Amino acid sequence: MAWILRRFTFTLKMALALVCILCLGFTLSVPSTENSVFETNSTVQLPASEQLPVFYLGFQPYALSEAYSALPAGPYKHQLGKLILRYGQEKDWIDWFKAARRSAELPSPDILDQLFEEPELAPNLPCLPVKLKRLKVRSLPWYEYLPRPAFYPCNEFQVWLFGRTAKQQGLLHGNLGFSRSNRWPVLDLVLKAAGTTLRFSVPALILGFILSLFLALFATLHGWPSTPFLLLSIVPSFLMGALVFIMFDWGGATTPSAATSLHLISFLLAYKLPLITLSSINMAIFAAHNQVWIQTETQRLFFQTALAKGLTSFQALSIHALRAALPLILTFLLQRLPLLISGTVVVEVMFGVPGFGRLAWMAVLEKDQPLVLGCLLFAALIAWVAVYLNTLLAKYSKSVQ
Amino acid sequence: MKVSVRLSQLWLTLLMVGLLISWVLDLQPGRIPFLAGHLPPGAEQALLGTDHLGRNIALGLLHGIPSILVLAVPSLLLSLLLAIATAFLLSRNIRPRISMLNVVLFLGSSLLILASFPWLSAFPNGLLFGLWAFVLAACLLPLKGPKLRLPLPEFIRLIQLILLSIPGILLLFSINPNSYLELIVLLGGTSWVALGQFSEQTMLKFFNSTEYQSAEATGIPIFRIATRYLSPGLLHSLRPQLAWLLAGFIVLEGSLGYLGIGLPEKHWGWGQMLRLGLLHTELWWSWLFPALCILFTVLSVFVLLKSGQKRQELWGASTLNS
Repeated sequence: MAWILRRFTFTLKMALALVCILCLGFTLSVPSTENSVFETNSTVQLPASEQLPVFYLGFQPYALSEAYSALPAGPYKHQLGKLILRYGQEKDWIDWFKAARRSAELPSPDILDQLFEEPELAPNLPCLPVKLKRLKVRSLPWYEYLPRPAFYPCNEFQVWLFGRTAKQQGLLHGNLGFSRSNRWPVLDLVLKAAGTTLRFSVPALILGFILSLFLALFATLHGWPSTPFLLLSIVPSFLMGALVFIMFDWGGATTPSAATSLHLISFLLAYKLPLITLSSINMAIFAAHNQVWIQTETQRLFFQTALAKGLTSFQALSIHALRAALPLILTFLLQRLPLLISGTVVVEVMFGVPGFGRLAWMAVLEKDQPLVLGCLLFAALIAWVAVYLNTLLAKYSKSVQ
Repeated sequence: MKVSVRLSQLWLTLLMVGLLISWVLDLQPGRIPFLAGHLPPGAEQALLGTDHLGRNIALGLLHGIPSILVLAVPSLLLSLLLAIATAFLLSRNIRPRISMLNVVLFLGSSLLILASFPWLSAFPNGLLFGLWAFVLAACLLPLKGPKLRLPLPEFIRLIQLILLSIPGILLLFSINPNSYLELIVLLGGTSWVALGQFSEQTMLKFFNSTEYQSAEATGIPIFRIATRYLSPGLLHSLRPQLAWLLAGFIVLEGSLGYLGIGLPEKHWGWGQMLRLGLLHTELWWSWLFPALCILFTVLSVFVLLKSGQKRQELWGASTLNS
């Protein structure tokens, strides 16, 4: 054991050393900014925002709030900023400024300049509210002058991840951002597309599952091998789709323009080809697994007892063997739940269904990164839910046993 | 031997011959000559006909062979390597003791290296990347201080959960790799989880068996135990999983080719040929031959890897993984 540990730590260190050497090699091979295209032309300079790092140590005491930045630009804004920095009470100053602007009672900028130098002028100014009559030069505690970690988003990815302002929040606040190509919130697009996908993938799953149960029972009853189902289950979906397309597309069918507004039955009739394709794939996969699990149960004693008691083979299979194999069958069904959303990409692209997979595909073609990442996150979330449900089911089956 | 196995062997041999021919001919998509369009199979210049643009379908099929093998086999090997390594760490419950200073240094420098990537930061990445690599190298120094047991198994399980929940095709969509190497690393690095879980179960069984305990008590070195006793049984029980995985890689390559994304720009495979062929269904030869090639390859790989496997063992895998 000690030998294994020694070997392991040695290997770990060697691997880390290798990584470091590779990093160094990568560093030397990557052109530095001195040789980059930005530097070859001396007139082109990097924008200031790109020269700043994301996280840096910065000073905060002279930072102004977003309410201040939202004020209209002009001479008053500058004076107001100076007053706020000198005397504090930011909210009072901004409220006064807005009210005075509405009632057109703003003093001239020169008076505000004087106020900056002489705070004792404030009580004599009638336009100032009571809160701002007694001005006191702000003194900050010493720790305000210490540099502290700050953040500045300087590319689109960082804005998408961390957000820029309180209004434009990032993924860390639950906002998936805006699609570049559609100019629409990503979450809305994804939810709408996922709804369309579920409208035909759920019926396909149910249809495939029920058919597979019948097929598995029938095949077990007649002692058929599971190999045909297995081989059918690994046929790629685009081949299955092509087969269905060539077999069932007799022309004349038109793709509905507004898929989401259709009634479910009309929707399924309009998209019968993807429905048949997905159902066939699901049926083959489920049948291959279900048959083996049911067949395994037939070798157990309770099944032989049921037959000895006079039940027909079909009754014993459908009542006893199927019930015993049900936890495995349900677990497998739950495992395939995430594929309801993410497993239909090829079929949707092939048959032009405006669903989740096609949305992701179009997003990649249009280089719409927020939409691609939104689709990925949504699919991962669904998968996490399925994993959690699976864990719950496993716990429940254990507790029942 | 079964007929299906014979046929599979024959098909894979044909693929190997095709691979050799494509290397000898040095086929490139740009070098495939344009003949007269819509030539049916059996034409003098094109044995399997030409597509709607007049490209020789037989040459296109030959060109598609390396891309499938170059992608699927290395990805499978990488997956297998990762699966066995993680299964060993998990089954032996290895938690190495490392100084806390090393851990802090490692985490800090890793974060800073991450922060020096151009997509996360605007650091001049070249210089800082190298500097932090040196800091990372400092983690290897045997520092003193309070020791910490690394929760390696929990960390691996977390990675497994994350990888299980990310759909592979969407991950490929979002990363959109530029080269075969990136694609191999992505495919191999994300699809080892099921294989790893099954290997872990097998290894746990082995390490709890009397054979292992008696071999250890006899003083047989661990390396010899691993090569003589563990690996034959492990690889034998992994065969159905490997069959699923290899078939899955081939299908994925075809799917990506069909969708026209997620593969390097110069890629020209059977998936693309099928997509273009289905745009002109009246030219049946332009979609039938690529479809048959994909189908035969997937089926023969699957049949060959699964042959000789007892049914009970074969389905033990599915039961365990579910």
